[in-house]
Amino acid sequence: MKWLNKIRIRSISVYVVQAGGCRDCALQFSMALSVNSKKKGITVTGNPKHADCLLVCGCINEKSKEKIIEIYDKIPYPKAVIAVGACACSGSLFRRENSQLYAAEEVLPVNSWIRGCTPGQAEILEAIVRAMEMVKETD
Amino acid sequence: MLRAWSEKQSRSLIGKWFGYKSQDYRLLFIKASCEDGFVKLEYILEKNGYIESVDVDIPENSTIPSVVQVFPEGAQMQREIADTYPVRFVSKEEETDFEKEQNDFLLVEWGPFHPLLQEPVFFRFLAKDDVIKKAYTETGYNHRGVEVLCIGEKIPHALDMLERISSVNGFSVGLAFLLAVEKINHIIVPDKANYLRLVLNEMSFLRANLYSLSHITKCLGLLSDNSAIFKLISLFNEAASLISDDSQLKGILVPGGVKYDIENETLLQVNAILQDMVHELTSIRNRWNSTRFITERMSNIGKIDKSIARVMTGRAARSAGIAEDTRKLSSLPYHVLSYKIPVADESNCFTRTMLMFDDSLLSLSLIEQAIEIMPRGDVNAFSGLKHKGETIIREPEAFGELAICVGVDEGIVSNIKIRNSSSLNFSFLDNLMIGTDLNELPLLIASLDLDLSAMEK
Repeated sequence: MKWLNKIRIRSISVYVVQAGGCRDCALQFSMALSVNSKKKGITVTGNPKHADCLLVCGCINEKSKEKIIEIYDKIPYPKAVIAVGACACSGSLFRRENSQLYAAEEVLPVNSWIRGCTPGQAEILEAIVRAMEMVKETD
Repeated sequence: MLRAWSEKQSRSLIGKWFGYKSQDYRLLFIKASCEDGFVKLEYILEKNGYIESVDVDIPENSTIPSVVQVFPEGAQMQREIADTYPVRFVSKEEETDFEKEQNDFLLVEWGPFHPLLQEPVFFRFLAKDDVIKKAYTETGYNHRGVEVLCIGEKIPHALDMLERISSVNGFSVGLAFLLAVEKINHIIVPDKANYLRLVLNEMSFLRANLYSLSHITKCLGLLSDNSAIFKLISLFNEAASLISDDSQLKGILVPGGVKYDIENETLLQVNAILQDMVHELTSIRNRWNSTRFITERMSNIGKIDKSIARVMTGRAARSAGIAEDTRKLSSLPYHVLSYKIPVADESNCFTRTMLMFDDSLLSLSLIEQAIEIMPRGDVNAFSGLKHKGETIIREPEAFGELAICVGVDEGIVSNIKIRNSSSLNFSFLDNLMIGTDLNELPLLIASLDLDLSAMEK
């Protein structure tokens, strides 16, 4: 199935989960897709069954945690999970003891972390491509 | 077990609300706290700057009358309180049993995460022939507990959190918080700092409006216009990079003014870059205005009655002919600038979208005017945070009116309550969706400018 994986690396469908947060990471990603000419075949999908990659932005609270796990389970293998921004990577300023907020890696097996508030557009695109390459090589 | 309030107590409370309503008072926000087995609710009402409050103490696990029957704009605030405190609000309207009605209608669930939803919300619809007959929205996916986290924090730490509350209105929330802190501590901000704050605030409005427009283009499927709007956002980022490393302009505000001075030359460069947007924005606006497919499609969606628009804020109200000028509420020097608030005759998706263009052009004009008359001098007059007090501030934000209640005790936040424009407008979403085609729903939601991250905090 190597040939199929090669094609899938060149055409990546991303499911964006905008969990609780300021939504700038998700906006940066939309902007990267719209403006960046080197977007490398990345598209956004609204159906997890069509997705290759799950992009998690923002802090995950108790309520969104269940839904995110549900979405992750629906994405077919091989799949990559990318945590975008300080909120998804570590909870940023909002995460305290007993605040019931989770970093993405506490909820899902994260393949790649893009730190920063707010991360750059090129970094997000690059991380998606690399994570997919990595996932499909190990598959 | 839930205990109901007595009939007499309920009638007395509703009577008080009606009394204020008949005098044209508006519900500003509902504050809640829980102490010694009692939930304390404070209904803050406002009329022409005068503030009144109706206080209620109810035992935990009680039911009290819903404020929605008198002040429909309070629905979302009430829902938030019911989710947080052991109290239930009872209204005359019966809740829809979605499971029961499935036999007559098609049950559709949408969300909470979808590319056409800017922020997570969960919708349940009962539809017939793809037209929505009943709708129910569920929020809470954005909740981070920012208000609770701010309590007990020092002012700069709380400010850091508030600026990150929302990418589109974070600057306005941070600014309103600082204005409240400065009011309590009697800090007089220098003229130049006030003008700089005004310019930065208008820049944040411009950014928010451009993001709203980009979302509308996405919902309409106009990919080339979407790309054009994103190019304008790139232009904005270029201008913002001359002022700060961050395009959301975080970290510039400090108590007493702004963190650093911005040279007049830099401001002129920023203005020159921003004014390049005028031509593109005008041409897209004119093109949409003269394209029948867009005008006809959008004019039939999301019509808001004038009587409802009166209690809404922002473009939803202004597009219905209500000339609400939120900038007048501000303590920033808007009064020295010349501007006219854009309004329309009928509130629908199309007029609201056109106002997005007009508001962006207005922000560009205000930025230019403010830079032209930028005074010289200091940009910070911080004199310590020694006082104690609580105040309510009403300020403009990109999508309407922002109200914030701040309590400070010697530089520590003791109380904070934020009510943004979406807290008012979101209350009407369930009813607005009725009669809408399912495929037009993303457009309707996009045109209402909902900023859920600042609403749910």
